[in-house]
Amino acid sequence: MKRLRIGIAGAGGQGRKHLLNCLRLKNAEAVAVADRSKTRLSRISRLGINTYQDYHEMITKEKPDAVIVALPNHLHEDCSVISSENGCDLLMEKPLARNTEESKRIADHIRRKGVRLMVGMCHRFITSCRKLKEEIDQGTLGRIDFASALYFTGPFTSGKGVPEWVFDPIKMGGGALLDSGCHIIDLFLWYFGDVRSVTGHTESLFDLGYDDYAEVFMRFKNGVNGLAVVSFRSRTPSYRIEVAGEYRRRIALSKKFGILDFGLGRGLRSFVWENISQRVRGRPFIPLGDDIFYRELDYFVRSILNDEDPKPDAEDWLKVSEVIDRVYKK
Amino acid sequence: MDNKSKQIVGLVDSSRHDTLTGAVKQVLELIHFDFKKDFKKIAIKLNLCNYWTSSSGETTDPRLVEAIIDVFRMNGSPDEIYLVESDATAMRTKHSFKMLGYEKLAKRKNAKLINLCADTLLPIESNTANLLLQQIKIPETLTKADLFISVPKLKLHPLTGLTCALKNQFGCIPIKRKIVFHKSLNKAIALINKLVTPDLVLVDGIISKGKTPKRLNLIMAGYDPVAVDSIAAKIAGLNPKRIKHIVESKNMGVGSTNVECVGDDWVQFANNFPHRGFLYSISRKYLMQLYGLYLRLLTLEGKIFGLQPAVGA
Repeated sequence: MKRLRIGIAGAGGQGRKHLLNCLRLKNAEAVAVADRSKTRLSRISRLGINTYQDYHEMITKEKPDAVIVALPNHLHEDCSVISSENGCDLLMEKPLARNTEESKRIADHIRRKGVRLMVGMCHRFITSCRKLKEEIDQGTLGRIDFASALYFTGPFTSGKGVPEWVFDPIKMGGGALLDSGCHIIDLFLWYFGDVRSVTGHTESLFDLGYDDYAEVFMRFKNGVNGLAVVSFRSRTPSYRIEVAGEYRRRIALSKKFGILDFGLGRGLRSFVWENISQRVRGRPFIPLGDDIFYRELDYFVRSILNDEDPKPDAEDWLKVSEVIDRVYKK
Repeated sequence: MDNKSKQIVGLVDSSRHDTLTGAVKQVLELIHFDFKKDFKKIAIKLNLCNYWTSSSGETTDPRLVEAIIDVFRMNGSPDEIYLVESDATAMRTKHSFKMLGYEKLAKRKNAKLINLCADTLLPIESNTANLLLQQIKIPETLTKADLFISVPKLKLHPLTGLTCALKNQFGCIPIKRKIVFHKSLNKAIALINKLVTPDLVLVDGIISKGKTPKRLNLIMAGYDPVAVDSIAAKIAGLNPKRIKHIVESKNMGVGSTNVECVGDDWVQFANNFPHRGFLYSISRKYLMQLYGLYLRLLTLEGKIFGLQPAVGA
């Protein structure tokens, strides 16, 4: 079986998830990890994976087939350039870049170098969101007039340590709208197509130089009106998408933000994964919860190995970024 | 302090006052606070464990701190007022001061924001072989203050049961990764209280967190952190004799649990407190410990990265 050799740039929260999922996938192999933290690297090196403190060095020396970019937002462009110059396909964590101009530069570079790029819009892999997409496409909800989304989470929600770059508005490039809102906007664009008009407003209670609360109202060309509300302020995470059709109303909730992911369920799931599933079935499965990152990586790896273009790509992201920029400019 | 009467704890329902300043003034009058004494340097220890605002019931309300500053400015002429807090495992004060409104407050009230971790640290002069004690140093700001006020939030804590005056002093340890003390948390709390005892405790019970955050409108004051905590425990529906850090502190001579309450009845606040269920209360602590052990030992993520469960302070 052909295995995709993967290099991971960044071993923070997201990088770790991708690393663990690489270890679980049979058709992928984590060949190297780059991170500034020596402690993290020493732990990762115990797994027999090459480690680097500089992602440039990792990419040029290891020449992996694909690179997962899980770096702070301001480093995305640099990493995508160096990766594509070395012929590596890319799975880039959202946001692809801090603004539309930067995103366009990345998209142009990727196109010129002829490598594939997938943006990690993981909400497309939430089971209930995928089911909703199927229902919308099949027309079982009837004519859709209105969709709303409430997504309250962010770096300050969990109470765990927050990386320093998150407090820097230049490195972040945006707040709740860019970081959380991009998921909802991407889902709405995936569901309903292109937007006709966008309005919205942002607020900053935390005074960090970027928004920690945002509302976006989108009118789509197919007649759907969509409202998305995102916030970094909430102490408890909330996730709810509601689509009201002429015939039916559907609500998508993510288990990722329920007890299964934050409490014992997360541990239980890992336990089943590591200790039973691998031995009994010989391959990992998802018994509890909704591991969207595993599915996302699995899809990316299969797409690259089958020589297909994974979605959402840079062009899809540009549409999301344009909506975000329009709200920020207002 | 001359007027230190360690058993007196004053309670005031702030909703009966037009302003928080009036409530603070009344509660200080209840405990016979001596404003005649000239306090030139006042240090106010906040309770900022994370980046959550005071409406979460987890962090000190800046409006109460503002009221405290106003009361002391009206009744004296302090040269310097320090708002102090130290970095925590999951929180950096330079960010929480800004996010939670303390930067603006300090500017408005001409107070200084001090990160105790970045302060000059003084070693403890002690012959004890206590390992815990050897790790602790005292920030200079706390030693040079004429009046050291602790403004803790009244809330429940998954490991210690209760957070109030004694637990707030844990934040005076100028070490970022205070999680290293969690193995002997109760002892560490008692020790730091023995080393740095607040002169005055003003408890923020405006919104308290039990099962959920709830508006109690309580402001509690006292000189003795052990006495204050024993009343706080009763309000939270806990037996102070079963809260280990209260017992440890009492045994170390930090204070007394022999309390005389003045002002409003603590029972009215206890009736309003968002109590946790009995099973939850007794199981939470052990579940957290088991879960931490499980994360570290059994999961792949834990084995590689040494995960620890997130615990609020």
